[in-house]
Amino acid sequence: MRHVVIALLLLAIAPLQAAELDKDLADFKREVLEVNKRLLLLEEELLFPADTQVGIYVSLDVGHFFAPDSITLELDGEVIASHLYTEKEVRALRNGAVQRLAVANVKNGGHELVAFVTGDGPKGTEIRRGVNAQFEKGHGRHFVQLHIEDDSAKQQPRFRFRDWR
Amino acid sequence: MRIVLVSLALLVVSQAWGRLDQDHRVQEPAYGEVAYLYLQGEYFAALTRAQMALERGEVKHHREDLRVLLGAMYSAYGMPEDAEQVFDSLLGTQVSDMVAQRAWIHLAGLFYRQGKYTQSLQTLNEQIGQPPVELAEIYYSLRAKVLMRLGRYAEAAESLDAFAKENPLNAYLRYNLAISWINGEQAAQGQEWLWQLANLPPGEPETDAIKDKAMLALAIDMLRSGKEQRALALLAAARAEGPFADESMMLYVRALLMENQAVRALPVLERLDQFSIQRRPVQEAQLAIPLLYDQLGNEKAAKKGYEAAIQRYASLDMYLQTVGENIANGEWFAEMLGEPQWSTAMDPVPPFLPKRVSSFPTFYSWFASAEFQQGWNHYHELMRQNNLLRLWQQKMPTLNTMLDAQDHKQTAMRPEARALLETLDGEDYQGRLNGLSQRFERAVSDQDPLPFATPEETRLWLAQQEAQGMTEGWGELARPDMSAKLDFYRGLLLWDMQEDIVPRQWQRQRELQTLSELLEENDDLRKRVLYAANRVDRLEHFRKELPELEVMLADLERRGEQLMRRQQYALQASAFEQLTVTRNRLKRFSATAHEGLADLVYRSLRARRPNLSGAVGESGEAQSGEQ
Repeated sequence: MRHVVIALLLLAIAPLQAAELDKDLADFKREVLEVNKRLLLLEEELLFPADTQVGIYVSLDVGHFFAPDSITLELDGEVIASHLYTEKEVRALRNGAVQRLAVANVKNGGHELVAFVTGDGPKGTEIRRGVNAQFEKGHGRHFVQLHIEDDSAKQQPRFRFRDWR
Repeated sequence: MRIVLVSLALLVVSQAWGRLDQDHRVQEPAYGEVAYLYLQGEYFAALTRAQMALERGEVKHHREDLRVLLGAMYSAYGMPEDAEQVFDSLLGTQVSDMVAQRAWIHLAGLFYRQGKYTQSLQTLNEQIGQPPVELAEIYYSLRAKVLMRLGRYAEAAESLDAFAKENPLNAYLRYNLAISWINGEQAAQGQEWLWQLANLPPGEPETDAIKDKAMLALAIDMLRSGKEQRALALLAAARAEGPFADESMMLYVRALLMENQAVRALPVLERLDQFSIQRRPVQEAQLAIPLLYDQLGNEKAAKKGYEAAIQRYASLDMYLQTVGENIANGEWFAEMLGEPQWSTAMDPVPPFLPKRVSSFPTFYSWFASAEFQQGWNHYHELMRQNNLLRLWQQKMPTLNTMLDAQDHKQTAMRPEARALLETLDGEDYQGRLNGLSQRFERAVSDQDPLPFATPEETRLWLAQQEAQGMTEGWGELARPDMSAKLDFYRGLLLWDMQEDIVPRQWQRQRELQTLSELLEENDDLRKRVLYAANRVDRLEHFRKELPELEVMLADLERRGEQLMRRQQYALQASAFEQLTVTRNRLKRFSATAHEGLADLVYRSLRARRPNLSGAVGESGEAQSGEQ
């Protein structure tokens, strides 16, 4: 009998709930987003202060000759990131999005980046490539981009690091 | 159907961005990063990153693009008020045509989601008109959906034709439009489109589902319009597996019965009988089987069939009563939920499907409905956000420790830094450099070579001066040629020094320039040290912010749990409604089975005692006589 009463109550309150629930959900999401943003800003400020921060990004332009499978990134001889790509991630990169592969703290001055990239090349061939670059860390946040672009003349991908400030 | 909805959502998402085969356009990493998350459907993470980028001023070139993306994400993430606010503010300012058009399309999409179809169409017509190529697909698909809602099917069809036919969204919209036509006044056109969809080459699950649905819809339409033969031919080719198999089989049976092909219908019904009794077509089959045996003259099998149907209906009803109790006490929901994969709102979305619990077939259609999917996803999202809030709460001690460490570092470094600054102030490097510059300017204007002499030349010059002084001190005692010799050496030295005076001056000028640059760098570093040494406000701000955020986290977690319960109750209420509908149907079916059985028994009795029909209801005496 108790269950029947509960069930009837459920049925009675359902329409009332549905009307308010969507709005309450949106309010909740807004507040969670706000608190999450504030915490992330604070955490990043504590972990990676702007003066020592370097961000390494990956972009793919346009990806006719290459689909990344994995990337391992070394900064001054130390592995700082490894990533295996999902289909969705490759699709996002092909559509022009940019992936933040790693964030690290470095002192001002010269540094070396090395990336080992594997993936599928033209006609399904497997491509393994190493690419390195030096960069000079100055004041403020510093961004470096690993840019993978199509080389139409050679029908091959081309990998290069470039400063993105 | 869920697969179809997910695919469509992804498709719409990619359409909102769409760059394939165009030059790389992202010029700021923050914008590219938001897009990376957005294109993977990770709205929460993308929204957070977008808000961070806007707050920190990380985007300048893509600022308006990012705001369009933000609005689109708010809209897709179920925050319509925020989306509208973003679009209103964006469209109230001077933005490029492309940004404005994208904003208008997203705003029209928002109106569509809110059920404001006229407003949506008006926005599309008045603000966009002819869309640019890169926005054509999203524009025409939205326009087609709006027009269908408004019942303007012919225009909707025109919009559908405007974008790629192989697009799964196109097939989905065509199906909806065909159904609308069949139910309206253009049945022939609706049938034609359904035929086209039913004949699509098999492939992905969503394509197969659309094909099945189109065939079913065609068969239903044929049965309705008395074309049983054609319906039979169509249904004979329907798939015996897949989500619509039982419904196809039941329709096939109906078509066979209408064509008086009871013998062919019986094996189909027996096969259908193997499916779960919780499914409506199987419940119908319980009635159809004895009815068919009866038609075939097998009264014994018919009687057995009715009895079996009554018994199965009764046991199903009892089972559903238990399910109802479990729904009310929350056990059913917990069982269906199972142990969901742990994730936070910042992680990629893990699969979140209702578990295949024993009552799954009862709610099969409801599970596939938009209403259930929306509620279920809301519950999932709330769960993920609560996980995120708990994760932050767990991180709080670490954040406090990091803050203490920074505080400690600052406390230790600050006196050292201040002492260094004081030393630097005492050195007056800038004043000294200014003095050197003035001396240089004076030497250049006086054409004085001595400031630019090498150490050896300076030594020789000083020696010459000393010798000359001494010679002058000797007076008349000095040899006359000595003064002449000294004058000659002086002239020679001056000649040497002035011969390359310009490169010497230039060298010094460069040195002064280098010193000036070093001093500028030094000044920059001093400012940073000064800022860091006095940057107490930042740490104080963090000190105040952390406890405040801690309170907010606890409050939000509590609210999140309440909302989860409310969402759960809403789902349970809907489930109970489904259950009630099923139980009422079972009662009707059971009553029909009882009637059928009673009729069978009555006919059987009448056949054995022909005078029974005259006796029943004629007089009390006759009845009592029978007894």
